Amino acid sequence: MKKEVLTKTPLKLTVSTLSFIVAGMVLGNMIFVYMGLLPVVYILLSLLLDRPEAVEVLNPVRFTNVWVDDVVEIRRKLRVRGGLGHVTVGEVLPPYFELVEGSNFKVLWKGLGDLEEDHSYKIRCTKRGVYSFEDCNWEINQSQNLQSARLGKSQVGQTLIVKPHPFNIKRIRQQKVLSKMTMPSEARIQMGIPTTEFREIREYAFGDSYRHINWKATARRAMPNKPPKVNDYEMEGMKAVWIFLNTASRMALGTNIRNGFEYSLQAVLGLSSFYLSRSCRVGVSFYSDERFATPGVDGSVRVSTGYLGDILVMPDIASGGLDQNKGVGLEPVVESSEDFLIPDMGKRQLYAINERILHVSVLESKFNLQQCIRKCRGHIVGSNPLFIIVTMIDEGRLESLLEGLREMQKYIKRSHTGRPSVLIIHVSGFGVAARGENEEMASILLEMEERSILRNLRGHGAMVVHWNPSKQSFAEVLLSQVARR
Amino acid sequence: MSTKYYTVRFLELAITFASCYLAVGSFFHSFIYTLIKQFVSAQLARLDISYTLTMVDPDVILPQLISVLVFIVALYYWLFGSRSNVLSIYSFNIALFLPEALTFSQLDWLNLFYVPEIFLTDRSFSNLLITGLVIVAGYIVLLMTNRFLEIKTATERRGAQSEEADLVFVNQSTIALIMIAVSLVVVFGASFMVPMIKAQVHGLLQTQVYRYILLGIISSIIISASLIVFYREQIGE
Repeated sequence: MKKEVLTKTPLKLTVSTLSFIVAGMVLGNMIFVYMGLLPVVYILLSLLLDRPEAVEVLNPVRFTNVWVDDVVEIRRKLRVRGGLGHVTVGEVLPPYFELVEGSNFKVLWKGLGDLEEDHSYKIRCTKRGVYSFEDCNWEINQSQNLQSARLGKSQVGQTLIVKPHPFNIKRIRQQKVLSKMTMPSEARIQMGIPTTEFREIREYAFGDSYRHINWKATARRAMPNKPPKVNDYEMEGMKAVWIFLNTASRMALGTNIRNGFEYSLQAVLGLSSFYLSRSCRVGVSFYSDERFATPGVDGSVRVSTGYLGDILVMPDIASGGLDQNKGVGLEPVVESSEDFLIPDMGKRQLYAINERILHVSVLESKFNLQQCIRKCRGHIVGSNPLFIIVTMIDEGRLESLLEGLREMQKYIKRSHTGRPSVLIIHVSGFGVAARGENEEMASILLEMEERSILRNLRGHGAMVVHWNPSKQSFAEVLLSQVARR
Repeated sequence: MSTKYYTVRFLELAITFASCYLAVGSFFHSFIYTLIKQFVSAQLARLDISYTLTMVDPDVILPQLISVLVFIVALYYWLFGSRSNVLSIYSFNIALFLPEALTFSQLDWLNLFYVPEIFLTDRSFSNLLITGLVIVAGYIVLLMTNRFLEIKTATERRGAQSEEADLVFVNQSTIALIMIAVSLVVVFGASFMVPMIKAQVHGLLQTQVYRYILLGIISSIIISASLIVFYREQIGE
């Protein structure tokens, strides 16, 4: 058992006790002696009152799924046994959480009987991610605060999964409008050549080839008047969409909660959902157009460049060069476990993209766009996909983007419709970061400067969409791509 | 702030006033007050100021003046006071009480310097004991309530709801008041018990030849045993 330590208060009282008793003894004065006895008796009587023994914090919910900006009620059941005194209970909120109602810190008075109380507070989850409430901290204090507080923790183990809101893109029902929203070029074909990739076993339907009848499955489930079973296969290389998200640090322009990167993630989710619901195979990849420097074991530095791939810089040059150019575009590398999700269909893929996006952070990838495409080459070749790049275009990094575009052109067949197969969504971070009138004006000027760069890019066969998240919703941006017939 | 909170605060004020009242009362019975009064009267006589004409009677005006001064200081400290101010009230009260309390000292150190006996009072031992105990009790109450107020402010600053912090403050103060009241009863009871026990022990020891040696040995054994028990407990922990 931990030693009980007295606080300063009883020590102060003891000092006056001693001075009275000493004065009483020196002067032979019993009044002073009795006056000195009073604080001692008070301390002794107060110490007889034990402080509460234990605190239990119970959590009725283990997992909570919420959307960004949702308000969640956190509930706890508190139990305090034995003793007399006050108890404080507090939980550390994960970053990016805002307290909306109540408090995550509570003080309780524990009287003579056992105490059981419900505690709740409301928080707003302002950023996507997986957050865990591991422990609830508590302090037990003696009723007169003569002993130091006993500190402890209770495990609550609650996980909060905060999902970003996908920007839902709705189908336009009006017949007289024509959507310019790019679709994969192969999407016009409703039926294709089946591949060898197995999808499911289903009942025979008129028009199915006899070669696809699965006789074993038919025999196993043989019933009178039941059609035979056939193997269903995925159609060949159809409707593939690749979404490339730039994870460079400039994407995080804005506040911790509202920044270009967060909006980009929501856009990726919205686009994934849109194309998956139209039977497309969607793949997602992360890249970064920043230059990186990885420190080696022997003092050398590996610099990732757009043109030449990885370059090994020798120790003597690295030390001199890095010191001189400290902070000039050379950033530490964040190793990534997974740089891309291979294209797949259906809700399972949407779930996988959701899961991946929950954990994505700025500087997730160390590869540039060209390297990323080369890494995914095996999955891209022959599928004639639609490429979507979600980025914040920067004049200094334009060459890296153009290289990526040139790499993409290698895998794109010329479309019959003349629509480009590369869609670049430029998320304007200046508008998001702007605070106040002057900054707003500055952001408008910077956006005007950006427009000329975007025009240049259109000349390279890409459809470029400019999106200022602080002014337009994602749906509005895509609706601006609609024209009347 | 709840009603209970204000009740505790006003109770605190009542205790402060009570201890101040008793301390001032004690001061008026002391020799220092008599000296001050004589000095003021002499000065007035020297200046040839008649009491009846100017209504400046030291017997009337001095107690009123001192009482008002003490109570204003106490009220100010109660309203805007910190812990150091609490100690100031307490020290002030002790200073007022000391001249009368010294009357009951059995060792007159001033005799060593051939100073005549000046500590005189017309009040009983019990009267002075109660005054002394109330002053100390007032000090403990003020010290503890100030400590509890600090805790209340700290918990509120950490994010606790005001009502919850108030509840803790009120309960802590209530328990402190009860404990101090019980302590007062215990000490006051002890002051009656001690002379009786003393008489019994004295009668018993009178029969012993080497009573001082016996008392010394018993005391040494008790102190040694206490120390051994204390250190064993420390090692065990």
